[in-house]
Amino acid sequence: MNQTTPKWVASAFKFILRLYPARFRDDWQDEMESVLRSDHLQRTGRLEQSRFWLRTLGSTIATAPKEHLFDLGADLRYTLRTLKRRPVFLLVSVASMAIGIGAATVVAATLSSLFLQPVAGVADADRLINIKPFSSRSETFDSISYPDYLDLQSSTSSVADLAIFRGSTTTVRATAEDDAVPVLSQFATSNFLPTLGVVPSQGRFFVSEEDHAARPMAVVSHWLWENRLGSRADLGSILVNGESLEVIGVGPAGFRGNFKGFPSDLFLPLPMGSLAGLAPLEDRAAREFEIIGRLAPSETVKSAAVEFDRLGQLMAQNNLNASDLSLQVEPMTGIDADFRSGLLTFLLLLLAVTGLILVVATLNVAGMMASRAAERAQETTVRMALGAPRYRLSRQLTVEALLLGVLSAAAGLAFSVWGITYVGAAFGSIDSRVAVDIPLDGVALTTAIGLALAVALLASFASGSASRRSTLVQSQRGTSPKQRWRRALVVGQVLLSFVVLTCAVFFLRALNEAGDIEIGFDPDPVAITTLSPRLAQMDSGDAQQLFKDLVNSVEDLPAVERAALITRVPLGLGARFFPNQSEVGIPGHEPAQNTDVLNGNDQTSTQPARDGFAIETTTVGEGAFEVLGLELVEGRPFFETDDKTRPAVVVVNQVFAHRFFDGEQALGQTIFVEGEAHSVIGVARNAKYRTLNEAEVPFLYLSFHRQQPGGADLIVKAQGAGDQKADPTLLLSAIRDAQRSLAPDLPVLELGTVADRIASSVLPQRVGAVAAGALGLLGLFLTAIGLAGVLAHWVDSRRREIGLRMSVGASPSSVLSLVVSQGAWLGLLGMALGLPLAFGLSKALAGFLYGVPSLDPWTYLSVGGILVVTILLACAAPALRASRLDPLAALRAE
Amino acid sequence: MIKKKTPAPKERPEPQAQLNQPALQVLLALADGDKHGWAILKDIERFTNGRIALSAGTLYGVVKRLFALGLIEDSSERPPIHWDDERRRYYHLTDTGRSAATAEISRLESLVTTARSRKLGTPQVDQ
Repeated sequence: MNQTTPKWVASAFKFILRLYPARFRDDWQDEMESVLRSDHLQRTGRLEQSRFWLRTLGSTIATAPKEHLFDLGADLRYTLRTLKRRPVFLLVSVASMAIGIGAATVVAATLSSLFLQPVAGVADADRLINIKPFSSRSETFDSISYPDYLDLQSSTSSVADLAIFRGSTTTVRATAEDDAVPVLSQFATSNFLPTLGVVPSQGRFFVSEEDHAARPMAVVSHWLWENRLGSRADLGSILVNGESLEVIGVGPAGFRGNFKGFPSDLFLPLPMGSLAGLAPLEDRAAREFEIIGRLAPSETVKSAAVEFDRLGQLMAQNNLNASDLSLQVEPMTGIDADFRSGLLTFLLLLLAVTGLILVVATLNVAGMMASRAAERAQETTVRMALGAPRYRLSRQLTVEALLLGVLSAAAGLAFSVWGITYVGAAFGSIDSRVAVDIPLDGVALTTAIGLALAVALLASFASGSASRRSTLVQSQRGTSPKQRWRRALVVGQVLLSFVVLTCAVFFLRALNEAGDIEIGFDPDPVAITTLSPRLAQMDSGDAQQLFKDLVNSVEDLPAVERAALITRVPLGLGARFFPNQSEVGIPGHEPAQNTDVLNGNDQTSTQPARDGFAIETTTVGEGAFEVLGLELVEGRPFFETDDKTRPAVVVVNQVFAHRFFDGEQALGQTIFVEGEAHSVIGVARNAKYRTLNEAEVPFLYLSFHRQQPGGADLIVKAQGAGDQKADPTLLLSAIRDAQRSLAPDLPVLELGTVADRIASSVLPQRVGAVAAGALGLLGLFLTAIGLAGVLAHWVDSRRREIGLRMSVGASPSSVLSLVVSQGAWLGLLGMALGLPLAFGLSKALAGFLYGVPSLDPWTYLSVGGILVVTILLACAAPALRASRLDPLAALRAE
Repeated sequence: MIKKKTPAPKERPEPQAQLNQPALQVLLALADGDKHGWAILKDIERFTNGRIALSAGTLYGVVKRLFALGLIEDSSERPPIHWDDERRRYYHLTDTGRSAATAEISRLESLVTTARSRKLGTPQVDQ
């Protein structure tokens, strides 16, 4: 009765049925083929035949996925059951991968927010450009005057809208009763917000007539409206720097100016610039504005760059005040080019480190999975001998890895939410006006999910490869499979742990070095607050009076030893980012011949200015040296009497004295600061002024009472009581009250301690140490688990051999050393391979490592030591177990 | 006579759980005796007057499920050797299967009764 089915038909059946999962096919393929054959034989004629094939194919496509899903469900249930029985394995693997995923997600989200996303709230950001005036004189980016802007605007054709703005800190009070809060503001032309493509969410923006007439009005950001004005329906008016301004509009939600990290919440018309002490608009010499533009259709950044290069040359020719300027064009990114590359390098390095940790964690989980698979090898091989196919095992591993991946992704995302808050807070701690918004956006989510998937695949591949080595024969013989894979995993883990820990130790050493660096003054007992009298519309006379009154009233406070004024506290943010150099002429020293003597590092080198040396200066008042503990090795400090009525005087530091007066008596020498003769009255000890790793550079102190600067930092030294150390934080509220009672309109800015301000200068090192340290320790822990697992398995699989050795007289200690040497070899191999990698990474980090050479032997030795101890600890349990083996039992067990 | 391997029933949810149409049809096909797959298909085609022709994929999806539920099993009887094709598996309705099918049929019966009392269904011949 068996009619024959053509061969090709039989093959076609086999081919179609391959769509079903293997498990299903095992049970039913023969049957199904037989049914299909019977069916096929009944179909005669073309039409019937075609119908048959269509139907067979169609129903297979419809039913096969159901069977796959069913199998997946069964595997999933099985996996869940086994995982529930191993809570420690579950916890360790999910936690380790989640931390890796979470950390990488935080870094990716930060990178995305700072470097990939356009400035928030801005329309068509890729058409926006910054036009940056570069000064050949100061070799830095500068600004332009309003008249120059008008010239540019009338001549440009590559830019559809050209706008200027000036950022400034102002104070805002929602009502007269509120406290004044500092707010970053932008004084801007009426086309500034429209150029950015921003539309008001309420009210209106400025119109062009308001570019000329000083009307007291303001536009506030949506954030300010919500957070400071209580989302009030009636916009009403606010007090800005003490002056009442009508709020005419609110920006759209999300928009806070054109900079990332420094959100602006108040927009004011240019004529209101007097509020922030800006010069009259028509002054061509007043270079106060930054320029942005929106490219005209069909223009590119390149074509605009060409045009503005030409316009810049014209401007420099026609305007003496701008003769040193040239114009450069760059896409608007929201981050200053000065910060960009450093920040990017740092974040990419962090990303690399988190990636390494994730790989360690994953390999570890793979190792644990493989060892569990190996534990089941006996069972598996028996089942395989009975015909259960091998794919079931790898399928099981894949499902397990995927499940762990999903759980880790979820936990990692939760972890990253916390991490993002932490990073945001870290940015905020740099300065109260800094705010970095890191949304958990598509990039972050994609990173987390992508990493989880990669991790799952890697884990399943690695564990699958590892367990596939357990062949039937080996397992039945009772001897161990070679386990080459698992050993390779452990070596990899040791390697990566070594690299990451080396990073951590380098950062810690850098922090330590930073703490050990002799900064030349004592910041610890000093409180500080920033005074900006122009924010309260004070004229210069009032300001100087306020400074004087405030010093006196603070000095009357209990527990205050001394108070003084200074324009730039050494190592503060201002000193770091905004060099303040004066042109200094020294008789007998021509700059051109002396540049080679003055070899500082890049940032702090003294470059020859036109008629003298450009030397970093700060302005200090009476008592400032005492407050900061800056010792004078010779001469006297400034007194209040060193004002405009007396001959100008200057205090130099030791480097200055040594270089320019070379052994001669410095006191009484005359030097020219900005062309004016000053006589040297004192020599101060060398200190660090801008960065901890700067070389010793010449430095000048000028008299505050003579210079009468518009703003100052008030520094206050706390008094220690008995053996109690002076605590400046106890003074803060009293200082705040003193200032409020003297100048209620003056915002209290950056009240804190000098130590905290300086601490911000080691922020990258601190973040690096914490991040790499935490990740490194995690990696170490994972390595220990992995190594212990490998050794335990090694011991288990050699029970017989070890028993034999012991029965012929091997001592427990020799067995102990046999096992330990197994682990030690793997560890040493990992470390040896990790050394060049760690060295390379530390080279890349060199910029962050104050004075710690990348070949620093102590770092490598200490990390090596930590790893050796960890490896020995990991060896301990399996080694002890092996040495306590009962030889008879071990031999009998087989 | 060799009994062919049977996949172990993986889990046994309530056999009373409502049976879908193809499942019920397979049980019905086995109600008057053990059959192999092709015979089940042909039987179903016959008693539904050709309205229903299960595909091989659907049939074995159902068979697998019925096995897992313990409603059918491999038959211990095989036809006389000259009729037998040893590649074929014959299926047998278990007692549980029989009672599950009965329960489902009475459920359908009571549905039909209700439907008729509300003037739905065949006895109300088209006007």
